Amino acid sequence: MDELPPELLVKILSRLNDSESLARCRVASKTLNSLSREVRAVNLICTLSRFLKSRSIVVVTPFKTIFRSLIENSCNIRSISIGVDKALIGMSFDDLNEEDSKDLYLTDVEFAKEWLPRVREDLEMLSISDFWIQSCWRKSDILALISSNCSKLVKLEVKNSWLSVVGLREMSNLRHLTLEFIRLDDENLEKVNDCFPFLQVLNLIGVGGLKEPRIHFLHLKSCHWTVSNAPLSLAIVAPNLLELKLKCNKPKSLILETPKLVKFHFSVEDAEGVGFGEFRDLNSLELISPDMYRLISNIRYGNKIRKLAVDSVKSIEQSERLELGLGTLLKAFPGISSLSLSPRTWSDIETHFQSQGLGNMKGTASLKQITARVQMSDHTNVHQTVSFIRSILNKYRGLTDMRLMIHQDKDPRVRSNLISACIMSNPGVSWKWGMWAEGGEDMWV
Amino acid sequence: MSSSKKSSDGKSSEIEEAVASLTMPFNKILLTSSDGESFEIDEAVARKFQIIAHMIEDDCAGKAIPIDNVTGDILSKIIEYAKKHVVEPDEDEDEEAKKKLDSWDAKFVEKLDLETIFKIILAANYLNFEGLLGFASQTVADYIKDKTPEEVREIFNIENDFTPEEEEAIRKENAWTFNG
Repeated sequence: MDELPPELLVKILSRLNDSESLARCRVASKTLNSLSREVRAVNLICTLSRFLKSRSIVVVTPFKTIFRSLIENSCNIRSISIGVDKALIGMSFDDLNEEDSKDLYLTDVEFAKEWLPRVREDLEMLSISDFWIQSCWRKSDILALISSNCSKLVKLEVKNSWLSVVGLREMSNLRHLTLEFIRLDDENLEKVNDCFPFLQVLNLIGVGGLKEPRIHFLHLKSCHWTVSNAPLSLAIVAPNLLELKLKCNKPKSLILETPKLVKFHFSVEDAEGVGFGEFRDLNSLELISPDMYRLISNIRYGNKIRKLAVDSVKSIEQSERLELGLGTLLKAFPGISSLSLSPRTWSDIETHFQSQGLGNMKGTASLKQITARVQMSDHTNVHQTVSFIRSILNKYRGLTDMRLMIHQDKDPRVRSNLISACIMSNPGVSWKWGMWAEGGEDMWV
Repeated sequence: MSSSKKSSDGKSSEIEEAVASLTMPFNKILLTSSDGESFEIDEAVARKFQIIAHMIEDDCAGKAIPIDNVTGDILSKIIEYAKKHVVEPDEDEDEEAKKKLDSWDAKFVEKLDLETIFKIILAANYLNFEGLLGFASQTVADYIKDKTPEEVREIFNIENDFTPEEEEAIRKENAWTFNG
């Protein structure tokens, strides 16, 4: 067998992404032992099994001890990932001892002081997934420690912790920041805005402690923000933002100044407080909201949208159901070439069609593709749905690509009747059929 | 590369090459493996191999290029992969295409034994074909991920060169991987 040269062996070892596997390779031979030192990453997860063993009478090396020795045995570390297995997050702990314990409290500043200064020179990526049961009681100053030590850091990720911004200094090399399930004492995100001026990617998922948060970054390109209803107002001012995924509830005030946005995924319960600036380049839009009618009629999204996905989530009011038809959607978004519909939205527009038809307006020529999860109530008969689909295809002549998913519990005979009737009455169309289920993955046939 | 003609009839292979460049359709490149197998591929595919892309840029790629370090069986697999990956689908734009390609990649590598994958890694490194080098390296990494040190030795065909004392010491140092 050909022997691989050292640099290729290091490439392979670097892709292990798991210091435990790497350590086993070290025991294999002297060569692998010395090459493993050239892997410039430490990745350690406390697995469920290791956790359970540590809580039993079995003797295991403490997690933090393992981590410290891994750091000591490597050099020029570029990337560190330390965390607690996701399986531990779902567990419930009645044992009060767990809360008092610190053995898995990973954002503990005292613990960080033992290894962070050693890696400060080269560290570019740091990810810490803490153990909530132990971290939620203790406010950590680890951000200050990281900012004063790791000037080269490009990517920082902290999960499941209570963090303080006191003492946080500017980190001019940071480009990616992810805070997930964090309690933060930076009410309006002022410190975050000030200390990471060159940030390009920001993910704030379930960050609590916010009052009137404002995301204001000149160089931000991509943002994912999931925010609770606690804040009084929300604002995103990002002149170069290209991609935004925003999930909120009933914001009293939501301001968006993101003129260059290209892709927008927006989920909101009630859009009354929403105020958007101009969208000059918005191309792809996904709206998830029971307040759909207000969202599409009151807000201007620009005229460059080609891809639209709509999910009206809940049953809309009887009065509004009469308003939300396919024609309404296409009138609000005349240039779209691809449309994607949730089951709820499909059934809303089908109901609208039953009572009002498709309207007199000329059909837009740009619509080429519809993807939909078809919702058929028990009393909808196949014939109605087929005639609905046929009317759409007749009116929108550019529509040649239909991708429909039928609920997996639907009677197979009903399914095959629908499929064959559609194909037969619309032969010029390219059909793709599949199945969908709540909470499950779509399956194409 | 084109200058090192190993065959004694150096003149006739030069002529062959000249004929090849005249009769080859535009934008096609001919690769010849170390054991004489020839593969005609589109320039776009050949460009996936950085060393060839550089040659094309520097205008010193004849239409026929010998690949001295790679045998025909390996070169054909590499070309198969390169053809599939000429255009990499954008994950956002075309999720479906990406999924299909990932599934093809998985099937492609499933059929190969480790020895072949090692040869592919060496060849992809020589040709400077980053995409395949990364993919094949990841495949090997995934394979050794949960293996014991003994199994790792077997996979890489390496000797245990520790003395018994050294081995005990290193096992002790890494005992935590065995008790987790």
